[in-house]
Amino acid sequence: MSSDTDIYKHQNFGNPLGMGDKVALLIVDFVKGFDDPDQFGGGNVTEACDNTVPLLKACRDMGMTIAHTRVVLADGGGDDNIMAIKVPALKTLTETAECSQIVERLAPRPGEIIIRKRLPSAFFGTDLAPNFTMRGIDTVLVTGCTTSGCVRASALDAMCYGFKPIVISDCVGDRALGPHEANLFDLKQKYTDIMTRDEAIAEMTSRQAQAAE
Amino acid sequence: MPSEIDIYERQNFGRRLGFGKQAALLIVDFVNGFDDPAQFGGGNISEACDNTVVLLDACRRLGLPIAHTRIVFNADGSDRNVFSRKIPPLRDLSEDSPASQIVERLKPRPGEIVVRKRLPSAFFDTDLAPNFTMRGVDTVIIAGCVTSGCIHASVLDVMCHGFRPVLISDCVGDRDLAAHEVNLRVLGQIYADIMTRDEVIAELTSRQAQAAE
Repeated sequence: MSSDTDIYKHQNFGNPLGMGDKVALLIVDFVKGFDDPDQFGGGNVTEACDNTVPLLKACRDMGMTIAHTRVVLADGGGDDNIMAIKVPALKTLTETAECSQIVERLAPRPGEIIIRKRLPSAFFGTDLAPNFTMRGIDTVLVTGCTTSGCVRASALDAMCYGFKPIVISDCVGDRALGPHEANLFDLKQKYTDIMTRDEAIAEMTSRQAQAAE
Repeated sequence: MPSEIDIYERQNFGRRLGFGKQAALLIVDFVNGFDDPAQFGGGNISEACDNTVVLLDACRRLGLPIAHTRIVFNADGSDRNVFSRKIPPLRDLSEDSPASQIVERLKPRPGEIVVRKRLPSAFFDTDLAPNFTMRGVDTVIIAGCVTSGCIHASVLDVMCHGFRPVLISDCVGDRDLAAHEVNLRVLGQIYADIMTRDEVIAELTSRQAQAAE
């Protein structure tokens, strides 16, 4: 009996995209509410958030473009949407709410992009794609939470907008581990490359060393 | 009394954007129906279309990505919109109608992008921006018609998507010459660089020569 993976191979899915010349780091929704198992967190979200600290530092050291996202809904409910009907707790993520602030250990620095979004994808209804385009970005490292929700939606749209997405497997997390694994599998077969944090850092470091030669 | 241009200067509009590293050519709606004064044409459209032959040839020689647009509505009326309500003859531009075919002298070659659209901008609900992004395009050279309609809309969206627009003054035309002039003047102040065909060919050629050195 053939395994699930065999059919993807047989149909020639899952080819590597590779890394382009200019890479950006996208950190999706690592905000306090998702770092807290009692609010939106749990599973391996906090671990993924911890793992992202050295990645962010490495990307900053290499002078890469960094973008953070937050889910922010209006205080008065004026922009509530279908997603907010499905997951009403999202309505607590307002501009000044503690739970919608980016976690201290990944706090954005001046000059880094911060996208406020009301839907899963970092790209839907935002100017992130034009912003990356203007900076000449061709590859997007995707980290954040949750793997089955906003990470998947953002990785999909990164591809749809013409960028090469690389999902960092140990820097994305989900409150439920089954969906985490299943979504990483889907993403790898259909839309993105998957690398570990240390693989990505090693690849970027070696590329930067080559470029400097 | 200060002229209209003075006020743009005083308010510090109209800065030069310049060229990036990879230009593409976008030819908007040079189809038979717009080349015919009895249908959608007139004014300086046919002249602009003639002028574009040399530009297209130069861009092909330089290996630039080339994109053409056509307005195409379904013959059965299923995709009519507000635009086709405003200008009902647009409904006749169906996939096979002679009026909606790109003019013979600018006929697309295999490998060139052909975007079918139902609205003024070449970018609205099309995948042209991601396609340019994937090809590393950062600058878009614009020819086509009409200056006050689909050109204005496409130039605006080029800029909004994060590319630098360069509008070619003698390769865009309008059935209404007053509208042509006022749109060119304003676009040059608010969104785009304006160059003549021969200026842009000289610029592209000199950049390629420098890159080859």
